[in-house]
Amino acid sequence: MMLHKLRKYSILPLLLYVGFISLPPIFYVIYGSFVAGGPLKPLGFTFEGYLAFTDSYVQSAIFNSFIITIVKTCIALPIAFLLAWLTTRTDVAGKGMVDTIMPAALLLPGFIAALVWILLLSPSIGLINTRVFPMIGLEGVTLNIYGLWGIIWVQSTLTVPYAYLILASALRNIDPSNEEAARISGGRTFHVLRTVTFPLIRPAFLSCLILSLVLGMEAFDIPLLIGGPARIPVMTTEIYRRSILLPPDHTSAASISLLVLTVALVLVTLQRRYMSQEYRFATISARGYRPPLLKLGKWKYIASFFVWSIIAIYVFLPLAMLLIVSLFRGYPFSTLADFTLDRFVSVWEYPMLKRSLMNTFITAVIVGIVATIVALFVVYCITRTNLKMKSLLDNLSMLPLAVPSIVLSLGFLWAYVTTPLWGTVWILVLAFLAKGLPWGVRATIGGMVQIEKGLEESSRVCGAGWFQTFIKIVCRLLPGTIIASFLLIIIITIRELALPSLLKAYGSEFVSVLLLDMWNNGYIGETCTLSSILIIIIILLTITLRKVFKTSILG
Amino acid sequence: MRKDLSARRGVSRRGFLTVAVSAIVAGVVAGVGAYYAGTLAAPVKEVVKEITKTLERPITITETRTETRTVTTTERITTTVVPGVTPTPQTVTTTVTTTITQPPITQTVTKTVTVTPPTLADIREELVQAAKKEGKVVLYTSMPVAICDALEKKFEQLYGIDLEWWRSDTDSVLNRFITEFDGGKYIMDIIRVPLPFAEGSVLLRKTELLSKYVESIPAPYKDPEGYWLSDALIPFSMCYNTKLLKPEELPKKPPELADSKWRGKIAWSDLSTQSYAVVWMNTFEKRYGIDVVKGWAANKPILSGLFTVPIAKVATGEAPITLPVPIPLIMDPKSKGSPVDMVRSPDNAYPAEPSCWMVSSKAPHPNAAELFISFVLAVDGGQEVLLNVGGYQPVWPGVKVMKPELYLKDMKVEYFPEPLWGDALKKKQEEYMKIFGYH
Repeated sequence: MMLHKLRKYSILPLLLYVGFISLPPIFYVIYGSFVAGGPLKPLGFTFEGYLAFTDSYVQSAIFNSFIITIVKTCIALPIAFLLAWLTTRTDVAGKGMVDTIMPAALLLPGFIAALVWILLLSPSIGLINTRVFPMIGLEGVTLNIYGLWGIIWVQSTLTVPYAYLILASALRNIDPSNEEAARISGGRTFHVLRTVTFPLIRPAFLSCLILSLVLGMEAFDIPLLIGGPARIPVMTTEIYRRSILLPPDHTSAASISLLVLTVALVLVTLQRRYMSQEYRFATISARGYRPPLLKLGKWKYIASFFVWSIIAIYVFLPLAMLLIVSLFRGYPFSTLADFTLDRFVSVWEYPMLKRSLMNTFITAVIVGIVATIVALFVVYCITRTNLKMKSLLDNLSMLPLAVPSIVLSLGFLWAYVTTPLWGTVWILVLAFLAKGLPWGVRATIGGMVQIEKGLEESSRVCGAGWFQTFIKIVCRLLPGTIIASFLLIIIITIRELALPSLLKAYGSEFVSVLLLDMWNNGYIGETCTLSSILIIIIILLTITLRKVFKTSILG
Repeated sequence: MRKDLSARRGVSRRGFLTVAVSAIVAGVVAGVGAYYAGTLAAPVKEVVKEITKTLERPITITETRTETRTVTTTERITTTVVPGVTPTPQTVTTTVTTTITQPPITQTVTKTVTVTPPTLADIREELVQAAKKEGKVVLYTSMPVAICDALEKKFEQLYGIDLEWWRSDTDSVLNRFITEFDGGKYIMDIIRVPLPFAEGSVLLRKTELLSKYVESIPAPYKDPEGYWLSDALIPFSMCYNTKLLKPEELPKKPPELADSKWRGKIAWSDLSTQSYAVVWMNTFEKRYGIDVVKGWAANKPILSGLFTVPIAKVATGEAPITLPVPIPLIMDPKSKGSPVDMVRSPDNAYPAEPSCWMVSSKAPHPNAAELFISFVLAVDGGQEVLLNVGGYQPVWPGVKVMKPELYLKDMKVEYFPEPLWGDALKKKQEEYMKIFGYH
């Protein structure tokens, strides 16, 4: 049959699908940086977009991006490593709780974190500056969040959770008998840490480092909310600013995007190199035996205090702040008498709120379903077949991970402006699909590789076709993974601010954009109330996720 | 060693091919479906006919001639337009003083033109019916949410036609209109923005973007070419937090905020993203001088958003005072209990801008748009809402004052904003970004 000859090209539809989602935005960003006038009225070839790099404002934006990214990594990673080591290797108090809290902290939206820290550390109305410091005798001392250090601090609070999860899971996967052997041979704790533990998790550490750098360069929410009033530009906010000027300067926005994209792509390529080399260091053993944990003795209290103050500052403090502002009228002028639960009812009256919530969730669910299905096919192709171009498929599907959201939205703006999709919510759906697919792939691949090939083979030996095997065996074994991927993509969609900001479908704004609007209009009580509700939803989704997918997703 | 069977066998040809073919079919179906969904979601592009008509309005012209004998050597023509903020007929006084030396005769001609303000009764029934057939009218504006809400309620109550409004800051409103128009999406009927933007931003695009039919509707301030009309003045003043500043502590005029005691206490608009803020800063510079501007910058103000954001920052106490912002935007949160208020000018003079209505040249609902504009100009229609909900000072006489605190009786216009657009605007923006420490 002629079809036999086409077999090796059967990967093409999938490749086309994925390529169609991932490639046009990148192409158009490159193309757009050379076209004057923007996507709506292209005027012709120009180098003007690159002249923007001579502007000192853009130069300080580039400088700030790098500084913030590097410094926050240097702060967050040691803290995350220490936390991870303490909870996996020692008998520090309450380590089970840390493992439960960290994944939830990971998925909190960046813009909510920024709002909360502004409410905590604003020089004029911050809770810590106005109430806490006077209480402990530091009257007159102010920590000002509106500065470079403010941005660095808040970004580090968002970095520690995922750094922790990667490092903790790496530490758990190493055979601890290496360290035990070292200790028996007389090595002191720190020496063992330095010479045995650390080299063994080096690949994970490097992967984590690069991830932190990439996500730092891509950060948008926090530099927008804190850097804006502080007048500290970064590359992503500069791209956004140029896109919303009147008239918009899409050309220079595209050229700056190219710079961010290049840096991110280089970093992500490096990371994938390390990820594949990681298997050389594999010491994964299926042994049930776990050596006893290191007893901290007199250090236990200090270590526990350290762990719990980190958790308190990074997780509990922001959440408490949200609740305080939601429950008390008229912050910052409120007193204890102003306690009220009304806001949780009255916030629903805010114009467009119900509609934006519906839009957000419907989009999230659609994207979740489609991206999960596509991810399933992609992962099956990559792990279970020997089709040609499967590594191309692999790379294409992971490509959007290296594209900052603001650049992705700019690319989609250019790519679809001449189509009837433009201005509707469907462009956002496509953009979220691009963004969610890599996460779906990452979530699914862990589950897929665990399935023994023998099961499929026996199915086919019994005469089942490929598709039958796929549905009846593979998918039946992966309900946890499928649901986990689905929920993860939903959460990623809900917390996104950059994509819906630029690709606004007017009249169907997303809840993240609405929250920002609320905040800008001075309704900080309502903003905090809505944020609390959002966070409760995300926490519930995360708990469901963990129950359904027993181990931690990024593990 | 047992070979891995699955590796050798690979994937079943027929099975995967089935999937591939079904994927292609599914893709085509999805693509067609998405296309249709896209067309359904996109509004129908309609070419709109231009409507011109004239309104009959009672106009009385009285001419009086007086003759006096004086000796002078100048010829001067003065035209004064007095906004009718008191309940007297609006007068347009043209004074022509002609002096002739030989023989020494002075001729004074006084022309009085009385225009009666529009009311809801003036609106023709055919217009209402035509508008009802269209069913809705779409408005983009920077007016406060409370006003948009109130206008929507009153309009729907009177005519049963839905007013779909969208509110954002001035830059975004214009941006959205122009972007949609250029992209071929004709959604908006009416746009309302302040005068400098009406003039400057659409200066080069008037004929493309706007329709001229508002020409036939009389208004105190009007584009001579008929592209926009204005019905109200938006006065500006400083906004302060009533819990943080006592009336004695308030500055009387904005230049006083350049004093170093206001360091870190001022909030205003983000000059790097809001072109409209640059227009006003330029006006302040021309009026108060560059040293005042530098003085403000030295006090390190918090700059974000356009006007609602600095007012919000005052409301939350982040800064106790702002540079001049539109008074209606102060009154909106104030009426909801926010601790903000405007700084009253000792001489009752405020900088002000006329607020302009413009109609899209490709408005999807032209009759409804015309009806809405007639409604909004009527002193017992929209004007009442604008004054009593938002503090927009009417230019027509005869508007019922229901909230005296919102009405600035006998208000004088201190100055209007200076026009600024295009490259000159960009240059000014960069200049201010340097002065205010954006780098």
